[in-house]
Amino acid sequence: MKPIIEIRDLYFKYPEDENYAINGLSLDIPEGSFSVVLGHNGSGKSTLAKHLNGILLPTSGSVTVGGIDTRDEERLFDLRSSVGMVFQNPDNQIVSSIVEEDVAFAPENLGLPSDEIRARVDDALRLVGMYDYRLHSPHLLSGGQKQRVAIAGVLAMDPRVLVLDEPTAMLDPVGRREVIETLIKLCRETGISVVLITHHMYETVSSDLVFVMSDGKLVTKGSPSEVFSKAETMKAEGLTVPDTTELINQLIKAGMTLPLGAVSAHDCALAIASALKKDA
Amino acid sequence: MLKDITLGQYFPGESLLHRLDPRTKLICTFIYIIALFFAGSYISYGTLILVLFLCAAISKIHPSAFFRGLKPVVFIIVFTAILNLFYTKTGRELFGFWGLSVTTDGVKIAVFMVIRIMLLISSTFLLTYTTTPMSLTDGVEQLLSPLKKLHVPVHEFAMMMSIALRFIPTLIEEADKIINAQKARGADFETGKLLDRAKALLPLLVPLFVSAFRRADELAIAMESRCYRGGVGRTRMNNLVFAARDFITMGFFILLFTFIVVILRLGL
Amino acid sequence: MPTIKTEALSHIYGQGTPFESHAINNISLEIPQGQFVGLIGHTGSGKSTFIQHLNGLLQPESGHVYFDGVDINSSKQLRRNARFQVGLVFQYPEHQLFEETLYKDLAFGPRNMKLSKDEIDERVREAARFAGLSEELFSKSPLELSGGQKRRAAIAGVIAMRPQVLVLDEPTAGLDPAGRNDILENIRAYHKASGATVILVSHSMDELAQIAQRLIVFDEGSIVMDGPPEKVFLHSEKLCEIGLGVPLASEIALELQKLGLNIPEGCYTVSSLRDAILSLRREAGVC
Repeated sequence: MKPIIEIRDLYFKYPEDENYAINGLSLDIPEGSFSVVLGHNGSGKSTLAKHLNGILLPTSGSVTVGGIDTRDEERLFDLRSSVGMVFQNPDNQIVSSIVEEDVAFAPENLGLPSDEIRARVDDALRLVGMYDYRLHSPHLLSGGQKQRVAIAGVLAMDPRVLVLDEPTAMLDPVGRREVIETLIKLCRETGISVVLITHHMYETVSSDLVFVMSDGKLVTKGSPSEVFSKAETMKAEGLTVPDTTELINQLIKAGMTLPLGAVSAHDCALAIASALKKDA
Repeated sequence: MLKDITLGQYFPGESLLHRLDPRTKLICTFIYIIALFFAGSYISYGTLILVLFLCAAISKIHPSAFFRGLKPVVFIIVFTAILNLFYTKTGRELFGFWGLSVTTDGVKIAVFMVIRIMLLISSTFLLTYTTTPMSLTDGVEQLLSPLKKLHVPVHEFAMMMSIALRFIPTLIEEADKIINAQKARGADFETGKLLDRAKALLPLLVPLFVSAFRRADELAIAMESRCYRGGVGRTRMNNLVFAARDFITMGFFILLFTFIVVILRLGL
Repeated sequence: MPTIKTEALSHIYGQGTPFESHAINNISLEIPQGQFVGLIGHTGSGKSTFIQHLNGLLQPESGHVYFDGVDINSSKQLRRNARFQVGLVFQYPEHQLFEETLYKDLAFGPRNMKLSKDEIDERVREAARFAGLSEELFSKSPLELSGGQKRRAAIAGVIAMRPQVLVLDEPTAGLDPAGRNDILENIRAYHKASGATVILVSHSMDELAQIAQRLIVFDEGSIVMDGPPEKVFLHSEKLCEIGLGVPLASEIALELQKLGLNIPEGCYTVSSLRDAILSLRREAGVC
């Protein structure tokens, strides 16, 4: 299948900086996948996000989303409506003082007829499980709920890709879980492609593909278990692997034979138990 | 402390007043205020008080909300009353001291002024209490839209107003947090001379401005990402449509206005 | 004598309105000098309200807060002193930086304490050292610092008051793993070197498991658990019930126990669990 996002030899430099924030990056994101971009602060991952809907344009190289080159000014609004962007701070992306009016903001900008907007708003709010809150004021919602409203706000554009730049960084564990579960459900049920940018390793567990970035370059990519098994690389990149992977790595170093890539506590325990039985 | 500010407060409800089109409410409030300036007799003031009481009763908003709203302007009301009381020279003198005299006309005018200010303020409260900030800005935008032909940036003005309303609670919360954080470092916002107090505000104001600019920057990117490009080609989810109740209400207020003017002409 | 003691502390928000809610309810506890306490609970559990009582920012509806045996709310002066004895670092503290230079900002707290110039200078340098900020940064505007540096600068601004108790509300929120580890390391080092009491508020069991000597769990305005981490993590069901969970290592240990392996109680870090598994392996006769 043709990838939904194609990035080719991307270089980008902020005018005030000397170094390239993105330094020769090429990657493909398959349509309908749940992909995660990992990296520490300053690795260039947020700069990458802003390239995906033409907020930033490449210094050189190209970014193509759903067949639209982001440098094509004629199609800027096609591009923006097919890439929904959600940012870190939920307070700074909600425009209106009523939930449903905020969700209506994007389709109103697209100039859709009123009844179509109403239908999209209701659908989007149902998809993120916030329909019952449609008449609430956003500032009284929890962080996780606000972020779900923000997701609904871009879903109402009927985008093909959802790009989220550290959407959980300011949330508590309950809020994080709400947001991640919503994203997984959206990706699996509606077939929308999700690109999640984060430094929280455990948010990658249910993803299809993980990209690790450092200094504006791609360091490694693969399935979550493939990537986690490279614990040394991850640590060198200022990232941490989940304690399950950490434990298995340490046990392997101590001489046990264990499969890498058990990420959940349950799988990890099963692997250790069976290894102990075999040894005995 | 800052959380007590109730700017643009809205009381959710289902009353007739809540359901009226915001434009109707804006127009009627406007008519009512003009009528207030034409009023000058017991009958006209009596009618206007009655209308306001009637509307307040229909809105089902507790009267205490109006009294709370009037509290901050008590000083202005008292001040106006005193001025009118002593500076009206016509009418029969009731009593006098220190060269100041109070006349029957003075008492009458002072009472009317107090009633006028209270009605003026209460009627605008009735508007904001029963209308969400968003539909209020919508109403303003629609009513002013003829000005677009004169290149007045009506949409931009309305958008600014609604964003300001949206961020008031956020910034108040933020200010509270910063005040607490600086207090925890021993900052003193409450005591000292005026100059010291003004200086003590710096640790609050600098971070608040920095954060407001950061928010503005992020909000702009988020709005652009959601295809915002100004008012051109923009549609609305909830188009404002006048219903029968709107025409009836407006008709009623036009009648009220005519009645007040007629009374004035008749000198009743 | 305990440094901090609270007695039947209660605080109600919006008393007399329909929104009335008990933020904290009847909290009594003692924290001895020098202890490293982890305070955990989800949003709205009352932990933030509680810590604002410790330095007199909030006054109790009922109950008392004692610092070295003295009720901090018994006079205005004592309450003000409590601000300096109990240093409180709020969430996202970098939002409070305001001076033209980092040095001036670090000196803000000590200056409010009316200390001598030399004393202020000494404290600023010491605090910067604890927070891992080099003196070359002193003349920079705090707004020019990197995200992690800003956070550390804000923490140093409180440390510069040399509080006997340092309370930090989610000091690692929003940081990446490397930044998180740096801050936690700084706090650990500060605790060791200064002998101050440290109260760390966090959502993260994994974080607290690494660092705290004692865990206090808040739920709906009350303390539901209080004890050393290995004891608290035994109640995994109860912790999950209130939406907190246990550290991942604890979870693995529980799974292994369910599979019939003899893992001793109280393994809640990766290293302790690794050692337990390796000793099982030795017992089984593998070398």
